[in-house]
Amino acid sequence: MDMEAEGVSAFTNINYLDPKEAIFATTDGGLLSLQVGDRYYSKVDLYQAFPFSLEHQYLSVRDENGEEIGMIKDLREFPPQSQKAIRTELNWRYYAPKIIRVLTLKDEFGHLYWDVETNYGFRKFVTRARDEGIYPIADGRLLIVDMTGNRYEIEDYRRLDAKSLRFLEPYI
Amino acid sequence: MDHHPEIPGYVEQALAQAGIDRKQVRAAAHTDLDRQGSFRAAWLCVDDHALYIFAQTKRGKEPRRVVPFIKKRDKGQFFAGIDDRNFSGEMELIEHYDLEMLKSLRCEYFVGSIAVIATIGEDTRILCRASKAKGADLNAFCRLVTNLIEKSGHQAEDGRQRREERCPKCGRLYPDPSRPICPNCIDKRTLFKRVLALTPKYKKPIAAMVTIMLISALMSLAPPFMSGRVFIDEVLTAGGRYEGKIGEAILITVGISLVSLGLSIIYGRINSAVTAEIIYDLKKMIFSAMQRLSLSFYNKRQTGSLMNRVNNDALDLQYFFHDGVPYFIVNSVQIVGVTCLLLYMNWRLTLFVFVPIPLILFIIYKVLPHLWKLHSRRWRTNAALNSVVNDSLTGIRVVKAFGKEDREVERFSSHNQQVFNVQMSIGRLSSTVFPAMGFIMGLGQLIIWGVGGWDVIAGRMTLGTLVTFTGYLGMLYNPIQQMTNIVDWWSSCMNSAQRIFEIIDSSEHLPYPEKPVRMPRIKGEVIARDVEFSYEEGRPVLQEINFHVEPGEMIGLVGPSGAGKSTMINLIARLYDVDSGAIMIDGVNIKDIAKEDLNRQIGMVLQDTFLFRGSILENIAYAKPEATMEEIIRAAKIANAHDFIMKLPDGYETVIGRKGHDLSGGERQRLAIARAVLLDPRILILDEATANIDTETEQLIQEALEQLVQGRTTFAIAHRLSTLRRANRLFVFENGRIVEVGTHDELMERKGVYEKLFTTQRKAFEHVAVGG
Repeated sequence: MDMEAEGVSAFTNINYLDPKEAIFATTDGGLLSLQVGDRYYSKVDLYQAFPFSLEHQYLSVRDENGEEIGMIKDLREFPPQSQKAIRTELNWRYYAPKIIRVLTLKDEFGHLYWDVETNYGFRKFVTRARDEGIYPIADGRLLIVDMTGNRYEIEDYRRLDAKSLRFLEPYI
Repeated sequence: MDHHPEIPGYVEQALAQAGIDRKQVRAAAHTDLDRQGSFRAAWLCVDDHALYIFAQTKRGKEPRRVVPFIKKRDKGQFFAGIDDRNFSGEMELIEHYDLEMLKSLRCEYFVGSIAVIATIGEDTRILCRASKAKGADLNAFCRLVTNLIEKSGHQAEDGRQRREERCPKCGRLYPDPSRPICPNCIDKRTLFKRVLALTPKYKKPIAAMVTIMLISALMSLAPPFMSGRVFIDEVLTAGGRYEGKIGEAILITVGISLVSLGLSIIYGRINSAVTAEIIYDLKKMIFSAMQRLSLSFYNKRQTGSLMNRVNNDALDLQYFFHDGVPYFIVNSVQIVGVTCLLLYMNWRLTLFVFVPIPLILFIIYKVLPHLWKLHSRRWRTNAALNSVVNDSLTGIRVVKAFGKEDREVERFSSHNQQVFNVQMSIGRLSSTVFPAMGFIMGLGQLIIWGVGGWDVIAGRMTLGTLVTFTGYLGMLYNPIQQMTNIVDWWSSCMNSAQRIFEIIDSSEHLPYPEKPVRMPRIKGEVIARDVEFSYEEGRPVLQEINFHVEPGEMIGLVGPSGAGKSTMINLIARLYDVDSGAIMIDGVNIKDIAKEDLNRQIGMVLQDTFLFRGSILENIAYAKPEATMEEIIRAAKIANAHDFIMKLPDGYETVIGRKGHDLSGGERQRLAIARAVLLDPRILILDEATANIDTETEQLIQEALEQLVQGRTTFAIAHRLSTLRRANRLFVFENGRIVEVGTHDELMERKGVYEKLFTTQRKAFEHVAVGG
């Protein structure tokens, strides 16, 4: 009976990391490290459970072997130092430049050729035809995945300038 | 090791400035993100001593900042982030690491980016970041550097050159980075020739169709001429050449109409025959080309879009033959012919004919595109609606079980609403545009009436000429309107042709040697040497796999799911080719063995047995259609399938899936085993052949399998470890490697991964057994 109870709790209990106990930092080498009590992890991996709807919540923290150390319930509960380190890491892992405007968008040869300005600079890329590659993830919010797997985001296409919108319109 | 990687001039400059001999550089790789995440160039270079990182200097000019002149800039350069060729900035050495200190270099793949991570002494650090477009190159670079560090001397297969991302001709990005084909620079003329060459046997009927259409076009010029110039001017007018000969005039017109009718009947008949044949041939061609492609081609693509190719692309191309070419020829002849005639009759009046044409062109180029956009949106919303219907009807059991009928209705309604909205917009727009166009053409008519009428009254022109004139007007406007579609039609045709040729030309089938090694009877020795494999760049599924299996041995593959067991057997059956290393059967690399010999002597029984539409008989005989009835019954008996088959009303000829003759999981599994027995393979592969089956059936299948494995080399995967008790040896897989090898007893004694797996499983089963 004991074993069963233990087994069940292992399935149902979520091990949340205590914002006071778990200290995240960015190492000199640019890696995310974690100190929990007297355990130190020089490199931990972060995964978002709900990357589209709750990007700051329910983050799985895993060691180098992929074992879950614990979950972050809401990163905003962590002290600023930890928060900064976590955000930096998330930003790289889920790197997705935000498209500010669309300079041209051409439907040619069964592919879409994009030329955009993002918050990280200008970029050209190609997506597969039509709706394969443009994913609505929330009201007005679009995720765009190019042929090589790079991701781009449009926070709210309705707030883009008229010219950008005219390019996008047929594909939404 | 005289490998000189391609390096652009500005990096060479930077190398020279840093005092590094360019000739000593072993490899170089381009990355496209700086440490803040902005799109800026950086380069990694390695020689025999150190690894160097170059980055854009602050002074370096940004390659593109000026935005207002997009059009101009756009002409030639579709580049990803930073364009090597036009890059005018400077690079400088920002970091370097001695190879002596460097312990490892590897790429880590994240959801949205890549990091190159180095271990330097005790320290692990991220050297640079890149977008995923750079994955393949960086990975190759890391492997090469690893070889250099390990001083293994040989470069393995990593010495490949940097892959081009852009078409060297026009600078556009290649749509598919793994295949350097630029759709813009494929020669459209050769494409056109290839399309024509596809179907040489249609040359004659198509030529006949064109000829008939030309004759009809010429003949269609006659009626307006007859009614105007001849009938009014010559027949009805006093003093005309055929005054009073009404009957004859009518007879001639009827004659002309009859000939036209005859021609159009002949045309229609040829047309329908050719159309059906072309579409048949094209579909067959695409489908057989697809069957040749390897599994990795299918892994990358959606089945839906492939089905589209077979159906829609073939249809598009068919238009090319039976609509496009003939209409194009006929319309051009008609436009030229009518214009000449009009000019001949009255050149002044002809100029007025062209007055409404700019307006018509305006509508065609400015307004109609909106309509086409709406049409394609209707197509997409309809597709979405269909998939909702499909989804909820296929999953109707789940819908009912959770009582979510209302929710499904809601989901359907919202999509239905979208279809409705688009339909409404289309209706609104087209019921405005087309009447408007009719009105404009009518205006043209009125202009002619006005100007021409004045001429008639003034005696400068006969009434008949005016009537003929107005008759020809429609014959001019309509073809012009049709010709404007030809551009669209042409490009969609050529795109389809290109997609079809892409499949036909695809190199994604496994390469077979020109002179394959024939192996009529395989003994069954299987050797794997340093096998590595990944489905996706940078995510190795199997690494450093080495084993030697004797003929007739039974090998159990065990380990947690995702450890690489199924991939291993896919490689043994050569559904994929290894990335590096080799798999040998009887000492011959499987890449060199004749396909038919390999297929005939490797049998697979998979977890998800796929049965084709058809009878049990056909399904068992799938791999060996020439089998006799007796062989089939014997195979079914060995597979313990004979008894249940005989209880079915139609016996071996029972059609699966019809009249409720759906088979249970265990029954299907036994048919799959029978299929394999019939093939009598020398090497047998069992992938979870007894999963998802109740204990009693498992007993039956186990018996069947025991019969089957006699005297064959067998590789078996099973989650339930107890089913592998007969195996000679067990290979334990973990994270893509074989971590333990031995018999059950040996492995239990070793108290390693296997022992742990086995004990947990036994406990679980006991638990289930006790708990009921």
